[in-house]
Order: sequence, then structure tokens, then C-alpha cells
Amino acid sequence: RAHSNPFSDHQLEYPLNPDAMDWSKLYPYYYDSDKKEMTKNVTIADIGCGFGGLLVDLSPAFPEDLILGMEIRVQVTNYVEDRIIALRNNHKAENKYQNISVLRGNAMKFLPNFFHKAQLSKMFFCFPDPHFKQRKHKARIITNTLLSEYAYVLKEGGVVYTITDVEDLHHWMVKHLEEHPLFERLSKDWESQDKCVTIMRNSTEEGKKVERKKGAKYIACFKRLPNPI
Amino acid sequence: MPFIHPVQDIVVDSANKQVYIVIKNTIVVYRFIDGEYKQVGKWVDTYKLDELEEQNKRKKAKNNAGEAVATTKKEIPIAEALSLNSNIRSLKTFNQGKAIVTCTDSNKGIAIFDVDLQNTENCLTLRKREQFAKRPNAITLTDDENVILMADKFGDVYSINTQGEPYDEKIMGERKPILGHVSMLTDILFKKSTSNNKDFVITTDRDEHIKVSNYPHSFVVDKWLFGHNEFISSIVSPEWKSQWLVSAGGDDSIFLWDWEVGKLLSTFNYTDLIQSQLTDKHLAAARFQNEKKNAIEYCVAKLSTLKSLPYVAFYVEATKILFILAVHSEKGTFSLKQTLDLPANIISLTQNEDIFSVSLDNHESGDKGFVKVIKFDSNTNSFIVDEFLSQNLDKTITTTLKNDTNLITESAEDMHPLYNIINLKKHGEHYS
Repeated sequence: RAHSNPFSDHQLEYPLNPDAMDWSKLYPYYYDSDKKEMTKNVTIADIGCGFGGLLVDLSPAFPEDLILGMEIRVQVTNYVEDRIIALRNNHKAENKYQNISVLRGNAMKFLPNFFHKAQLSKMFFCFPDPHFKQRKHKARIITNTLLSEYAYVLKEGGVVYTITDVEDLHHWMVKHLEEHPLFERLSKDWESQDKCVTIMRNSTEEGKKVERKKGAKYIACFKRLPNPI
Repeated sequence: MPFIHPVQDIVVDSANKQVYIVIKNTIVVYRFIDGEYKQVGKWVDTYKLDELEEQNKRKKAKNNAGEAVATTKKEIPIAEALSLNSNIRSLKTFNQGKAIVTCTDSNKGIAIFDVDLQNTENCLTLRKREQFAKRPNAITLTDDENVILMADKFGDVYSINTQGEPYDEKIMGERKPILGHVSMLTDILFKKSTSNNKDFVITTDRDEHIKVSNYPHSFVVDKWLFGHNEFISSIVSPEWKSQWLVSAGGDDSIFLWDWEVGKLLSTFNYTDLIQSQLTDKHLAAARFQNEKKNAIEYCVAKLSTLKSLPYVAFYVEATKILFILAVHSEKGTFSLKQTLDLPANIISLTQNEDIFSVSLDNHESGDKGFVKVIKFDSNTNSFIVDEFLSQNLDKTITTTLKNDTNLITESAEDMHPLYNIINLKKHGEHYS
């Protein structure tokens, strides 16, 4: 299925609060079983990670970070899970792909259940559902009210990455991020020097599909500003 | 036997000796004059009514030849159309009792009235109505009373000026929410921090979330208060301990928080206390039933607290018991102070100064037993029903409304749904 209604009463699992989240199952390599605590926390989130292409390419690029994909569609999540398990098994000797994982969840509703204030340094929104109809715009992943919640989990200086092949949606995302007092657009220069932009442009399944069809890809990145006093 | 429909909301303004009751689409105002309550105001929300009458009129149109033709379609029964979508909810007084604001379901809007405390004919003057895309569910006012903050059923919060002209989308563009959840909002509070004097908005939703946002910089989320496992239906923050917050809903406990620090102080479990009160009314809906068909579901419908006395009252939907908890203002703990066994199911609970007011489901008792005013009696150190005021109000409600055909109900089946908060309970209906 291509869509899932973010407002529905889904059968979802989510922790009562960020401290109640058991990350050891997702990143067993980074769990210290003697101290019974994680040695690292998630710092990069791919919201709506789809088939996990971005996660797989970010993994070697950010070996010091834990990277989490969140996906609302059950089957897609299962696929990414299997994909990561296979990658880990194939690279057992060098312990690769231990720093990426995926969970099934509704990020629009429950992001703060997973992450502490200012925990994240990067958030990716790659080829989100465009929700073309006007009355469905609240279902879009970027809205002025949700941006406040993304700003809460992002640290100062953290970056929101957006990419889409739908020009209308691109303008919508840019407009809302630019209007939000806690975000500032990063320049084209910055984009051209950032390795995540390159990875994002080339690695996701959606991105490759657009590439094959010779479609346009619209990118916009935004920095999390300090809170006003 | 036809009877006057139960009072769905009662607001006592003791300073001005006024009482507001809400029944369906009607607000009635009573004032205590010369030892008894007298009706001094009434407003009927005819929004849908006007629209329907207009539609019905239009149907008596002319045919192509320009001759008047009788309508072939059946006229829309106005009473029926009104029944579900004409509730008035969340009535609040402000400006020292010289104004009220309320949510009107009919136009998914809010209505602000001026109250003329001298006028005994009709003290209510509609100042302005504003309409929204989604139905308003709860309102609160900022401390300066210049702004109403409205939380809607879609999850957004809007700010509305109490003064000035209604918002005009043609001039000012589409309204923008000041903050939002991706979940139905159930309650909202405006609070000033005791430690740094900053303002905050606290919002609660169907997904167990209590969110604390800055105000007016509402795009800066301060914190979430995590702990609920079920939807939240009601929050209160006492004046006698402003940094505290009490919350309740689908969980079988009442929660006490320090919202400024972001800490859960204690909980009070009421499961055992309520068991004897649960009836067939509390059986879960058929599609959520277990094999034995005995799954029950219940929730706290409303919380309330007093202005200066350290007590919190609450009731469970479709029960007759008003629970009053004493709050230990040093330790931050609850203890059961009293249970008041009322003659019928409670359908609303509000507070003014140090008085609780409840309205009751009178469909079995007929035209009496609408409301109870509950006061703290320092002689007996307990809460008691003020029978004089309650009976006086009941009598006045009966005499003033017994001929109001709009508010007379034929049978219990015709009443507005009075017990639907439990419907907020989530069951994970959708797998993927």
C-alpha cells in the first residue's frame, strides 16, 4: 500500500516516554549489558523511511551516529527490518550496519514518545506523501504545528532535510519551514557541500525511480534556530 | 411522560448571583433576586434553524413558467436536524461576569456575549460569533482576558480576540493555528509560571499527551507530561498551587503533576471505589466486546477544583457519585475526602469560587432534580448539597421551561447523547 492514514486509530506500539524506550533490541551492538544501558543514542531520524535506501547509505557515512528510520506501513517496515538483518549478517566480521534500525510508528503523533528534547541532529523527510487534496493538507508531514514538535526534538543547529519530486509539495514545505520562527533555510552553497544532500539525492528508492523517469528533484534544508528569549 | 431535557452544563457566577444553564441549543440565565431565582436572560442558537428555514422556503420555488409550485420534497424536520448538531459547550464567564463565551456546535464556532447585570428582561447580547473549519471542543482565556484560546476536534488551537470585529478571512486570510496535535484535543488551560512569570498553554489529547507550550511563542514546546495510558478528558490547575496540574480520563487513576518541573507527583486509583456503580451502561460497544460479552469501559468525565480550598472533585461518566479528594499541599498526594451519592447520574461538573455545581440526568425523576450546588460546610468539615439553592433553582427551571417545546423531551431515547466521552477510548481498530 502506498498510503496510511496518520489520523486513524492504529494498532501501534510506542513507549510511554523516551526513557521507557528499549533501544537495545534495535541496536544490540550498542547495548552495554553489564551497565544495562545504551552506549549511544539515536541522533539521526529518517521520517517515513520507506524501503530504507537512505538508512543503508547513511550508515557508513555516519559510523558514530545511531540512525533510525520510522515508517507507518507495516509491510514496508518488515521489509526494511529484514533488509537490515541481512546486511548485518553479511557484514558480521566488520560489524557494519549495526548503527541503523527501523521501527513501525506514527511520527506525526508519537515522535516525542521516542525522543528527548534536543536529542536529534538531523531529520530527513524524503519523498513524503504529497496529499494533493486541499482538505488533506493537515495530513502532510510538514505543517506549521508539527514543525514545532520537530523543533523540540532537534538540537540547536540541527538540520531538517526535505526532498520531493512534487513541485507543489516542495513549495509548501519551503513556505512552512520559512515561516516557522525556529527554522532558517540553508543556502545552495551549503547544500552543494553537504554529504547528506548527495546521499539523499541518490540513495532512496523513490529518488532512483525519479532518476529513471528523468524527473526533477527538489531539495530544501533548514537549520534549527535557537529559541527566542 | 414528557420532561424537560437534562441540563447539560451549569455555570454559577456567585459574585453576581447569576446562574447559566445550557440545555441543547439554549442558554438560560437566572439571577437570585429577593430570595429566589428569576429568569433574566435566554439565548437560543438558531443558526441551523435559520439555515433550514431558508432551505425549506427555497424549495417552494417557481417552475420554468414562473408559476409557484408546491414543494415535492419533504421538508427537513427541523427538530431532527437540530438534535445532534446544536449543542452548546464549555460556557465560561469573564470580565467580572459581564461577558460569557461558549462553543456552539451548530456552526462549529464560538460565541461571545455581553452580560448586562442590571437587565432583567434579557441580559445577554451577542457580541460576535466566529466560525471555524473544525468543531471547537474546549476554550480557555488568557489572564488578561484579551484572548480566547480554542482547542478543536481536529487537533488545532486558535486564538480569538475577545474584543473587536469577527475574524474576516477575506481580509486577513485563512486562520492559522497557534499550535496543534495530530489528535483530537480534549482540554486546554492557560497558565502563568510561578517561578519565572512566563505564560504557557497546556493542551491534552486523545493520544495520552499533555503538551506544555510557551505563550505567546506557542511554537516553542516546553515539555510533554508523560504517564497516561489512555485518553485525557479533563485537566485542572488549582489557584492554591498554581504549579500543579491534575489530569484524568480513560485511565483508572487521577494524576497529579508539577507541570512547571515536568514531574508526576502522585496518582489516585479509583478502580475499587467505582466498581459498585458500574452498570450495563458501561458495557463496551459490541465491536469491542469480549467473548463473554462482559467487558466494561469507564472513564473520568470531568475534574474540578476550588478557588481556595485544597480539594479536587471528579466523576465517572454515567454514575451518580461525586468523588472529592483532599490534596496534601506539601507532599503532593491525594486522599479520599468524601463521596457524595447523588440521586441521578452526573452529567456536568463546574466550579465557581469555592462552590461545585453539578447537573443531573433527570429523565427518571421528571421535572425536578436538575442541578445540585455543593458547598464546603466548615461546621461539619464536609461537603454538603446546598438544598435551599438547589431546590430553588430546580423550581425556577421547571416553572420557566415547562412550556418551552424546544426543551421538552418525550422519552429518554430522544435526549441528546449525554454519555459519549468513553467513545474517545482507542481500540487500535486499524491494523495497518
